[in-house]
Amino acid sequence: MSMYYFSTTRKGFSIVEIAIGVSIAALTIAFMSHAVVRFASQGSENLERTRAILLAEEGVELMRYLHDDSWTNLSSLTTGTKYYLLLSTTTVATTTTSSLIDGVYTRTITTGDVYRATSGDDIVASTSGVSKAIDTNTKLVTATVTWGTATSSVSMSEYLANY
Amino acid sequence: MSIVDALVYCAVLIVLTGAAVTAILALNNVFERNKAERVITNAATMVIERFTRDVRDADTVDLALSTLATSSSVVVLKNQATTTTYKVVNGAVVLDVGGVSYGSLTPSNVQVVNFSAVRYHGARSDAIRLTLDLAAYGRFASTTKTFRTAAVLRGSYEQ
Repeated sequence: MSMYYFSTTRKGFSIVEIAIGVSIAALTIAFMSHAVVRFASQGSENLERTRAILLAEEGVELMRYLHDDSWTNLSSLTTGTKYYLLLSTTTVATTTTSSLIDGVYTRTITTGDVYRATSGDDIVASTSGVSKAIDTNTKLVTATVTWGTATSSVSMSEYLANY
Repeated sequence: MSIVDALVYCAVLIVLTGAAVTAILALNNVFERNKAERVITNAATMVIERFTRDVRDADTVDLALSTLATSSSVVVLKNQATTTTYKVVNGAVVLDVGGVSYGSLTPSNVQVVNFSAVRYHGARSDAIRLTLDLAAYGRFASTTKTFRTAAVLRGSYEQ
């Protein structure tokens, strides 16, 4: 009798069981979708960062070339002002007109003053407490590449001296 | 189980299966694209690191033997020790040092779309700028990306 009672009350799944099952499946799918998005964005980020690093390196090297050509190519740049490289197949120049590289990147070139300790000529920070003076024959050149919403960026710097 | 129950279960099953299949296909696409991007990144890094190092190590660019500013540039670098040549053969960047071929620097699943080098000649130094376009093709995804670099020939200071 009890067996008959049991079998007549267990008809398939209840609505609660279905709801739980669907919720678990939906959570699993949502987790997978999130993982896909994260995986995709991380992979692309690595590629874009590698390209940006190479662009920054290119910027520093081309500034070195301009420095080799003439020290005034560097000394004439206003400290802290953003410059961009204007490249042709035969010439390299700096400009204040912004341009997009490969439709993605913006590369800026800035120069900074370099301070040296009065004693020993070591390069020191501008905020250093030691006795120091600006070395007008050395510049800190920095190439910064930004992309995306400008929240992603890489920078590369080099000291270049007049010789 | 009534016919209504069966229909509801089937509908739920179809929706869930569809969502799962879509997610798996999307994951597969992303995986293939990431794989292609990783292959391209590694290939570009390999070529550009080697190229940059050789340019910095060079004294001069042999303009007579080089073909510059084309999509299949040939770059012949010289220093006191040896001659190093970069060129594109069958869609791959090939390195030749001192007449000995070091083979392809790019893997077989990467195609060189553009290998364009230009030379800048300054008062005290020379520089080379390289634009490298690489493509990788997967079963479900392919990608083409541009990589750029430049280097000053350190040996050119003494010329």
